[in-house]
Amino acid sequence: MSKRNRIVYAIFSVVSVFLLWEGLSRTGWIPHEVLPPFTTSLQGSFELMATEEFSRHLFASSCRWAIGFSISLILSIPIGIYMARSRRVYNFLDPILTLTYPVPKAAMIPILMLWMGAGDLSKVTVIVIGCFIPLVISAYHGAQGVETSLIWSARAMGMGERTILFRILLPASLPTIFSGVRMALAISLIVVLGSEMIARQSGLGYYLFNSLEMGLYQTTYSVLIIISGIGLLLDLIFSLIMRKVLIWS
Amino acid sequence: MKKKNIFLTFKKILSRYYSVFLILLFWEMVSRSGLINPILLPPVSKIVIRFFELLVFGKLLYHTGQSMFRMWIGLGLATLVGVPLGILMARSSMLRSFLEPLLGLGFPIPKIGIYPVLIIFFGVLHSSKIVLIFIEAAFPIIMATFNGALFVEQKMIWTAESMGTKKQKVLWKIVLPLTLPHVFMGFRIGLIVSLIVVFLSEMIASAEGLGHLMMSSSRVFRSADMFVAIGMISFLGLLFDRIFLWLRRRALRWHPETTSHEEGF
Amino acid sequence: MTKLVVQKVSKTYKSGKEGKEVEALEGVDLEIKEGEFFSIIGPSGCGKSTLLYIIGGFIPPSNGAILVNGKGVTSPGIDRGIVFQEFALFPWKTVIQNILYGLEQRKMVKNERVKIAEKYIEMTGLRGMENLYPKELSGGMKQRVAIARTLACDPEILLMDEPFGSLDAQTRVFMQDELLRIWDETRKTVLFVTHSIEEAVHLSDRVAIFSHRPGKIKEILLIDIPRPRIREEEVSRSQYIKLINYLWKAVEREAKGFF
Repeated sequence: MSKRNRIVYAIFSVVSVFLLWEGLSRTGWIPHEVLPPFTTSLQGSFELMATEEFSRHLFASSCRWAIGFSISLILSIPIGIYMARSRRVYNFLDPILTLTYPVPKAAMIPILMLWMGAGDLSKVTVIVIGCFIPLVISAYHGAQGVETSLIWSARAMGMGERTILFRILLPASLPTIFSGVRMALAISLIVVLGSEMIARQSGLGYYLFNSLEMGLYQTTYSVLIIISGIGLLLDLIFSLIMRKVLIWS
Repeated sequence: MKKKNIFLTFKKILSRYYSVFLILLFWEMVSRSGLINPILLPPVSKIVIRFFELLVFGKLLYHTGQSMFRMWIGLGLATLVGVPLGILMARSSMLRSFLEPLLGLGFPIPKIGIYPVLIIFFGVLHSSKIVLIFIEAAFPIIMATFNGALFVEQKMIWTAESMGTKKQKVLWKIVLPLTLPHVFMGFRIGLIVSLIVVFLSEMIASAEGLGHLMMSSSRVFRSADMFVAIGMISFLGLLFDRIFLWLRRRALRWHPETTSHEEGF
Repeated sequence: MTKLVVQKVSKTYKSGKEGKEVEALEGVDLEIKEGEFFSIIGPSGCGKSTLLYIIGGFIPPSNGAILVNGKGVTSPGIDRGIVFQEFALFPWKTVIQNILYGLEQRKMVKNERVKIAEKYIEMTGLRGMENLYPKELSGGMKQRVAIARTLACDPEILLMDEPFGSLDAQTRVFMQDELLRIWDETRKTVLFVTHSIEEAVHLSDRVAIFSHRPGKIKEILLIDIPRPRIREEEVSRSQYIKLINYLWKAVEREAKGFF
């Protein structure tokens, strides 16, 4: 199927979903209070983004997410690569990872809130913890998967270990690492929203849940649209970056 | 003879998980020494005791049951709907062109954002959580099944047809078994995701369940109880994963990549 | 008695993004007699496999018809069995389960099915391997299973698409003789597509030379070497040498003609 066709089909399905939403609401099949029409909600979204109050919360969430995600990347990826290079480090960390793997990182939120208060620190920490395992695993597998023949021929050419690390290992593991980062991106968004919905102090998650509790359902839908949009936008940006960097793959 | 074997197995576990034991020991010592406020970090021993107390006198089993009920219905529905849908998508280009973009777009959206909307529709009881779990788990299951079913070798289908299998039956008899490895992969992710989602949704808004237990304990600063809740859900996660791996090894005995032993991750 | 008739079959594909038309086959005419071992050879990409798939009913012809026993066929059926180069064994089934697959479509008691399956296991030399999975088998063994599976369905024609192409040279030679032995027991009509001229000559009653794309039959040669064909004494026959040389030149001509 040609690319143009695919885009046409995509637009068609997305539009039909929105039409369904609009239709269900406008015809009164589902009452307005429960499901306001799509167009009304969308309008609300734009109005919200213009308000100062909402922007404050949006900013708060964005900061937390950005800081947490960056720290997570900087911390996890080198550890993962190191695990692939050193058997001892692997043996030390592997059992810990295997055991903490099934722990829903969301469970850490209340405990971290106990330790660090309900402020930003706990939320940033929870993002770091939440993204840690998928990033470490993908960095590990990425580095592991680099063909030994590649490394051996580099050594034979007289390359030092540090050069090998940065010029061979890193680029070769990049595709796997990138797919891990993409997954961690999705997880980080869930974690930020989730923790804000639990802590109920500030941020998009708080705003979303608060509108529900106050019965301002219209706002709930508008915020949902904004959140979805952000998620899609971030993923799109990331895919573009990925394609640019991995142009050789 | 038996005594020696038990000793050897114990030794093997110790040597493999030595880092974990070290951390647990360190934890116990730090907590008991008073260096860290024991309310923030209760000693491991206290957590274990509290676990048994909650089990016998508290409502640990009740809460666990509530969480598991929601999780498994959500996950079960996601599988029952997701696997056939994934296969049909792979074989019917019309269905595929309609659903594939929706799946692709739905994937990066943090679906926890839909939770409040579900509460509007279904209230705070079981249904809102079950639907959320269904949605979250369905995505990886559908996508994995779809990807697997897409690349079924045409020649296998032709062989079956030349032996008298009708077109509709081919889906069931040929495509499904060949897609099974992928279905298992998707289900594993769905398992992890549904565990996370049930816990998270219960922490946000619920009157029962392990997530609720976690939150209610945190409000009265019963940190040991909080750790019991985490411990329980982690244990369940580990247990289900092991059971899953065992099932997969048996069901995929014929698969060239199945080895007799499963490694860490 | 004529088993298979191919009437003016042609096939055109739309290939690539611009929808360029590729003519794979052009007016192929063929008649194969009952019990005959018929091979098709030709340069790569000339469409011989495509013809086989059309006869099998897996892809429709753009023009023309296929007649088996005088009746037209347009879809896959149990009357035309197929054996592929890639074996296409069902990996989740054991050897005997694979062979039983075709039999399960037919109405008979379970015991009868097992008896028939065991007959073919014996015939193809697979005794003792009934409960192994395809992943545990070598290439030669896999192909035996594929042959046994197809024969168990008792087809009117056996279609074989370069069945020994994935085997190493020694196993290939061995399997050719095994195939002759099996064929001798059942005397099925066989349509055999191959790249190997020696293979075609050794196995067949007649050999068709396919032209380069768009494919059609250039020439049909009669292999008048008496059966049974014993390799050691066959290769020194003047008839054999003449046929091989002639076919080599013909195929070479076709291959060159494409460029």
